[in-house]
Amino acid sequence: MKALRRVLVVVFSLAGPLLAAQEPAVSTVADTAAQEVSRVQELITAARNEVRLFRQAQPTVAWESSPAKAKVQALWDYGREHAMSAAGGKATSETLQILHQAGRDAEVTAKVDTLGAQEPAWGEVLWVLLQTAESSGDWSAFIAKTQWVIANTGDATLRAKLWFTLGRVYRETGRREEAEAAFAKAAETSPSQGLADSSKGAIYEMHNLNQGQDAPLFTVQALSGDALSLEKLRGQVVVLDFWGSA
Amino acid sequence: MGEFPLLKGLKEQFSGKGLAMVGVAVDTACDRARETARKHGLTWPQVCEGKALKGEVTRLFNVDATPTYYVLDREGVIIGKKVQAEELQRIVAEALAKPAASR
Repeated sequence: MKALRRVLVVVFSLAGPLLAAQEPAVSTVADTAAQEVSRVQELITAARNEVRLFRQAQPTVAWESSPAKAKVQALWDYGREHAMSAAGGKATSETLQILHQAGRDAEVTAKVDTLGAQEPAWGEVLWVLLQTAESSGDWSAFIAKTQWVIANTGDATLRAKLWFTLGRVYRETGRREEAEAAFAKAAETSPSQGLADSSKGAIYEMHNLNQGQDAPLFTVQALSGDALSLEKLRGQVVVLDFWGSA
Repeated sequence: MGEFPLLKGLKEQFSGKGLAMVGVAVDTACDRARETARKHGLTWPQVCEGKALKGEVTRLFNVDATPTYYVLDREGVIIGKKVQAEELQRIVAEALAKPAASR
C-alpha cells in the first residue's frame, strides 16, 4: 500500500500541470475572469467551513438538512453554470474534493458521471476520483471514467497523461499486460517528449528492474574522482541511494 | 535530505560487515551536491552526473523521484526495488545474514 501511496503522489504531481496546460476558456457570462475566481473562492471557503462544522457535529446532524449540503450545492451549481471556464472548473473539482473529505464518495462518483468530456477540470476531477478509489480499494470507477475521458476528450496532452496514469494504476494493481499497453499508448501519443520518455522508462522498468533480476551494471567517475563500478562491488550487499539536494 | 540520518545509521551498523553504499546525487549542480554530501557527512562513494533525472545511472534504474532506493544482494541481483527508507534496515540485514553463494 505504501508503494501505491507513492504512485498516487506522483500521479497527483501530474494533476497540476494538467490544469496549467489548459487554454484559458472564454466565459459565456459577463463576469471578468478575476471576478469569477474571487466568487468561486468565496463559495469554496463557505462550503469548507460548513462541512467542517458538519463533521464536528457528527453524528447528530443529517447531511440532507445541513447547511453544509446547501453550501456544497451552491459551489457545484456555480461549476455547472460556468462549466467551460477555469473558475467553473475549479468550482467543480473543489466540490468533489470537499465531498470526498466529507466522506460522501458515492455522491462524488454520481456527480463525476454528469460531467462533459470537454470540461477543463478533468485532471483535478480524476485526482479526486483516484482518492476515492484508494480509500475503497475499488478501482473500477476510476478506470472506467479515465478510459471514457481518453476516448472522448479532444485534448491530446490530457489523453496521453491519462494513459500514463492508467498504466501506473494497472501496474500497482497487478494488471501487468494492461499496464504495459497503457504506457505504450502514452509513449506513442504524448505531444510532450518528457511524458513519452517517462512512459518508455516505465516499460523498461517492467522488463528489466524486477526483484530477482540482475541489476544493470555501470561504471562512472565518482565525485571523489575515483572510478566506481557496480560490478566491482560483487560479494557485498549494495544499497543504491538516489538523493536530491533541493 | 530527511533520510540522511537513517542512511548514516545503516552505514554505521553494517560498516565492515559486507555492506557497500553508493549515493547518486540527482542534481544538475554537482558542486551543490558535493557540498550537501560534505555537510551531511555522506562518507560513502557519491556519483553526480549533473543531469538530474536525465543522468545515465538515474535512467538505468528508471528513477523518477528522490529519494529512491534499490538493494542488491552479493550477486548483484535486485532484492529491493524502489523500497521505503524504513525497509532498508531489514532488507540489508536479511541479505547480509545469507552466506555468499558461489555462482
